[in-house]
Amino acid sequence: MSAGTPPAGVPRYVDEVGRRLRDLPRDERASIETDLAQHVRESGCATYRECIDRLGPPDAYAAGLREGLGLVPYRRSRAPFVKVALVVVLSIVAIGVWRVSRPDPLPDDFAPLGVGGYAVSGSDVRSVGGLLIGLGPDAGAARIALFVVNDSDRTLHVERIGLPSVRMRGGETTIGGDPDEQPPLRPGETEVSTIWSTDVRIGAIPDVHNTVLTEHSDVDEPFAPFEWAPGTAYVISIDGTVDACSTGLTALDGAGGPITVAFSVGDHGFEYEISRYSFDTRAC
Amino acid sequence: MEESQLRKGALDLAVLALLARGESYGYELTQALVIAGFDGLGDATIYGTMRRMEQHGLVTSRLQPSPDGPARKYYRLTADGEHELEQGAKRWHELANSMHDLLRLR
Repeated sequence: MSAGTPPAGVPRYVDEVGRRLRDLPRDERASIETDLAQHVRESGCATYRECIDRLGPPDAYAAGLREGLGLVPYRRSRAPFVKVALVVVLSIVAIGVWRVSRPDPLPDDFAPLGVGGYAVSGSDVRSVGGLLIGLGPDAGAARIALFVVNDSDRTLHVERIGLPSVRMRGGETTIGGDPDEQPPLRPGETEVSTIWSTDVRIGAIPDVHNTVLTEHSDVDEPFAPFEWAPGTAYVISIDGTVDACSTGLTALDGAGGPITVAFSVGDHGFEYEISRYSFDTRAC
Repeated sequence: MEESQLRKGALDLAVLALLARGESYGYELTQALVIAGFDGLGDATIYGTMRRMEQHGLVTSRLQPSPDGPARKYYRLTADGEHELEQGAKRWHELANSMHDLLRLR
């Protein structure tokens, strides 16, 4: 039989390690914490300080545990003030307008993604006129919709998702790159500056045991894992405060009503109608 | 190649090999791994490894009540684990032979 109530340091240590397992399903995490408590007790530590001395700091312990379990490292979201929701857009029709270039090569086991384009709206929209929607440089609350396409030829089991840095100028969309090194805007060009600085990585995960999304803003509510078929897109809707942005988006058939976003990824053209979104396009 | 990378890759096989000698519990396994040269890996990594191997059906565990301390979890190999050990040992020997030849030709 167990010796009864564990020493006071044990539950606290277990709890601290457990924080770095928040991305796991609840049952899994609870099961790990039960085992962990037993393991910590085996080490003989009584106070929290003794547990740290014998087992190392909780974050280091959690990192080692995750490594042994074959999990990716735990990462808190880099943009805690931004809430992220996921909406699926499924239809694809062809017209090519923008070319997509990726200056940062992806590691071999990552699937290429296309960023089709995005539309923005919010209280700081500076101008709406004709086909342009713009945001001021010190945008406050805003909603941004980003189309991200699975540009690989295989179904992706999404394991984690972050937010890319995106720059669209003229007819080109660039993912990643240093926003401070962008060339000046030429007359007639439309530039969409970097809004996010988080790296985006969506990997093809062959092992279905690791399909929980771990990279997002609200770490207490992990996304359910999902499969992402080739050529389909997800629309990522972002509400909240963004650091800074100035944007312009060319819509094919006008602001206010449904907006059609056309783009190409490699040799493939895509066209999406953003009729599922209602954008607040008031001028400031 | 960094030494810790080599050891991490070999850890699963080392655990299987140790358990082939008989049932063992967490702390005892950790000590045996240290003696076998796998120090510096950390309790947590080893514990996570044991759990993962149990999830994959290579080991199974039981709780042994103890009159003067917490119950201990004892691990032992399953039939799948024994098979994996056999296959893993074979692969290891083949790799070791290839590397031996390669390094000799360096």
